[in-house]
Amino acid sequence: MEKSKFNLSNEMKIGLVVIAAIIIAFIGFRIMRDQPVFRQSKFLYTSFDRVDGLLPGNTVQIKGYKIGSVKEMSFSPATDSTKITLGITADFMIPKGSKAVLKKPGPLGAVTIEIVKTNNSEMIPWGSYIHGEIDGGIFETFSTKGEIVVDELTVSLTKLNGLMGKIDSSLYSDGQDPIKNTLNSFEKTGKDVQQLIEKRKNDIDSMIVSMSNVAQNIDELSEGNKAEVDSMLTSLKNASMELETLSKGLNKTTLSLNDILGKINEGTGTFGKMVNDESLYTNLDSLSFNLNELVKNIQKDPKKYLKHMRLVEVF
Amino acid sequence: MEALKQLGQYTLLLYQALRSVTEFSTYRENLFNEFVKIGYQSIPIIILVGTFTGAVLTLQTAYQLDTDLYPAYIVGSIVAQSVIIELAAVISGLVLAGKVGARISTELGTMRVSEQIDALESMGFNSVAFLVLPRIFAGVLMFPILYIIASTLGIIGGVVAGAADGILPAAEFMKGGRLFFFPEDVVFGILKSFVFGFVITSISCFKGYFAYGGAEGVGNATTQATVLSCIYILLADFVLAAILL
Repeated sequence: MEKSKFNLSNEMKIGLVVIAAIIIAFIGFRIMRDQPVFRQSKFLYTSFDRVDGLLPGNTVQIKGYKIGSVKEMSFSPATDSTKITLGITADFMIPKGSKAVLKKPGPLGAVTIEIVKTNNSEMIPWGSYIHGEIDGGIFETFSTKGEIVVDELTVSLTKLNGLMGKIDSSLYSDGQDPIKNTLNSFEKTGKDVQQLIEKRKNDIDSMIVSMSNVAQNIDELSEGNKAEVDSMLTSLKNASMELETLSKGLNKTTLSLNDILGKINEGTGTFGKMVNDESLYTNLDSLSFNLNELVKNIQKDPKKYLKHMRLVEVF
Repeated sequence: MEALKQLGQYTLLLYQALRSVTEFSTYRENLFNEFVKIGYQSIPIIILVGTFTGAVLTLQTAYQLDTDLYPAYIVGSIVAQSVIIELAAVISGLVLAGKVGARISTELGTMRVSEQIDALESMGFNSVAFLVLPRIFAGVLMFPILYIIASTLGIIGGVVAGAADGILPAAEFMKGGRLFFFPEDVVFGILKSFVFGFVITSISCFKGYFAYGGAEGVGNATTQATVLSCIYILLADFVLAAILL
């Protein structure tokens, strides 16, 4: 048997391991059960009619601050309620008349016990019993408030009934039933429309038939003359192409014309000079005047001009 | 056929061991020796295994539950309960199958092939009471203690890993852990470790005690002892869970 460094005997080592395990297990248990490791918890007792979802280890709070946890629960058939042992770790005492309220915050939250304090200066000793109440959260609120709501609803419904009666009497005061009348006239209209449709059924039918015939004819026509329509379209296409070349040629012509007109404007070339120079006109004008004079003179005295004009000489 | 024969041999060995429980003076010295070897000397590796199991489980659970659907303390619930019910017992069982099982089968196998067991028998010693019984006893009694250490350190490892990695504060972790802490789970875990201690030591003793064929035979016996221990740990784990949960 080899000796260890610290010269511990086997028995010592075993004892050490066992004691360490026991201590670890004890402390671990206390911690996991939320009990103070080395001091005794202070206890309070309470009881609830229902403890839905409450488990040992659930927290005990004052104004949301954790002061302990649920230690034990036991149902007693005699009182038809569950006695709860609350382990309190808080340093302060709890005033007399405080209540323990079982709280269910919501569908997913854990159940907690809230201690509702009073302002009493007297404190309750540890180990005594405090009154337990249930605050069921949203669902409980619905079921308790529900009664009040139902009462109010009943009143409202009675009032509504009265109101309906008044409306009734005012509507029916002249001995007629207006709603019935309205419905009757609606019915009559419906019947009329139906009769109309029945009467003109043949017309409507033939209309639909002829409409479908027309549509069919159009269809056939377009089907049968497909080739012609095609050629028509081709020639239209050709025509439009020719038009395009034509318009191009016209464009060119217009451009040259523009050029020529520009030159005329500028006064270059024969036409330009003719247009822009007044001298030709003046000459022509004076010529025509002189010709006029000449003709006058000839009429006045033809011999003067014609004396040398001999027929023989002319021909 | 071979399996049936081995089952018979195994049962007979256990019967012999049980029959010699009263011969306390024969195995007293060895029993304390084995307590130290199985219990005391396994504590370092159990500390390591327990701590890392809890720490890794915390990180991975937080990674898997990374949605706003769950409150953060659920990680604590999952880690604490998993460690207590399953992981502390099974993972330390598998590790000890290697550490303790291999040592036992090698020791006994070597004694068998070097004819030391025969020598004991010829000297009028009850070899089963002298060699097998104290090892099984030590395993059965020490494994629960190792389980307690492993599970406690697993939860501590989870708390530390969760706080250090910023996943959830220690108080939240413990709140979650307490929410689903049931003393029955601890009892279940301790029962598991009892069974695993018995499985590992009895199979290793059996394989070592009936080793044959020199050094190779001892090697074979050790291999079989560790492999069979692991298989039967998992099997026993399943059976216990099916029966008791």
